[in-house]
Amino acid sequence: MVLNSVTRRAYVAHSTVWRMVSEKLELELRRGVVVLAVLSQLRSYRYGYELRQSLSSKGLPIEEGTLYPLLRRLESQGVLTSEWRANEGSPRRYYQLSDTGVKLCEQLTASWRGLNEVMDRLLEGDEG
Amino acid sequence: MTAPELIDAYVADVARLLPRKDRADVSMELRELLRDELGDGSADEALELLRGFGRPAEVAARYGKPLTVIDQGDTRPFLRLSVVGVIVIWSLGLIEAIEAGSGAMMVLQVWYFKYVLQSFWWPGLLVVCFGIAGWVRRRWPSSAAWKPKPSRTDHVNRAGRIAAIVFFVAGTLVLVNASWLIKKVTSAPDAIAAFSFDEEFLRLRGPLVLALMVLAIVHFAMVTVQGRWSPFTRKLELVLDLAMGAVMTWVVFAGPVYQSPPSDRLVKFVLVLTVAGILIDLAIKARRKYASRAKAINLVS
Repeated sequence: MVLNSVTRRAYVAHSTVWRMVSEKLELELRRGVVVLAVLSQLRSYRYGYELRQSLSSKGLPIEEGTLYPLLRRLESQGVLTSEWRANEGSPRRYYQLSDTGVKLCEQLTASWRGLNEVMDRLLEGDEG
Repeated sequence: MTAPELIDAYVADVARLLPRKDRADVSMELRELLRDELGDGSADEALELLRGFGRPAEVAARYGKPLTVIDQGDTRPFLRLSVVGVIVIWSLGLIEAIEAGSGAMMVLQVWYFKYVLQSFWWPGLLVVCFGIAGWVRRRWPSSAAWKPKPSRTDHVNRAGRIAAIVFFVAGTLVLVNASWLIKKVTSAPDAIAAFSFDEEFLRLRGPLVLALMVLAIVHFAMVTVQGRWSPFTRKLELVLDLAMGAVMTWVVFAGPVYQSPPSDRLVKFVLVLTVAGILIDLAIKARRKYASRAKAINLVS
């Protein structure tokens, strides 16, 4: 009985650690694509909440606490431009790619495609 | 609090931590975004949303340019140096407090107020030093480029060692004849007493320390003349280090070295530091020897 309880506890502790590690690694993997995902959706003006909904509906949910500050940082780096608009109701800040942002988006897209091909080859090789 | 009030309070907490020029703009945007996220949600839902968004300090940091005081790569050395430094200060302070105080409570009181509380200058100094080092690396990245260490050989730098021998001989002569030299300069009794050895020290401990110092200089000169280390001079160095460490420890605890208590305290403090240095040096050498032996065994097997 005691042994069973100890074994069960060890199993639970092990699976908890494993889950934490896998979640952390997956988060790191996703973090690498967030910027490109955001840039890809800002060819026309969008505001933060609308962008988050759009990314989420396309299968890439990004936490609000990550996305909204990221937009400001990209703007301060000259990748995005923004303006306040009040279409219906409260004014909202809309973001769009700047000229630099368009070039960066093209560059990152090419890198992403190259990387994707390499990864496909690597993963297929492992399976074969 | 209602949901809008919670959002306002949260946004105010974030804004307080942002650069002044960004506060109004970010507050307005963040408030609208959080309202959009919450929709018609209740106060409880608002609280959950805001907690999920992150602590205001974290959110403010995400909005701003990340500020690093100590680089990630420096964190471990910083922690190690801080802890070792504080432990050394506390240990030396405890020895001083035991010598100065009478009674356990008095010793603890002196130790705590004079050494423990004041020891935190050391981590503070390290923060400044590591901060400056990190800033220099970011400002001039080429200065941080890796450089290979010169390979360890048994050869020695003769010119440097000859200069060191002159310094050691002169230092030993000054140390042995300090009171005689002071008498030549001044006749003040305090100054003379400050550099006069204790009679008891001069009977056995003094000559023994002097003999070891002379032997150390002779050993140093031998290596210099040969121009390289040999297995014999390495072994002799180890024996001398052990003997010097043991005799110095004995001198610290056996009785006064100088007639004047302040001079005595100072020289014992220096001796404790020297013994600590010898022990660290021996530990590094032992580790190096163990590592090279393990490497040789691995190569053979």
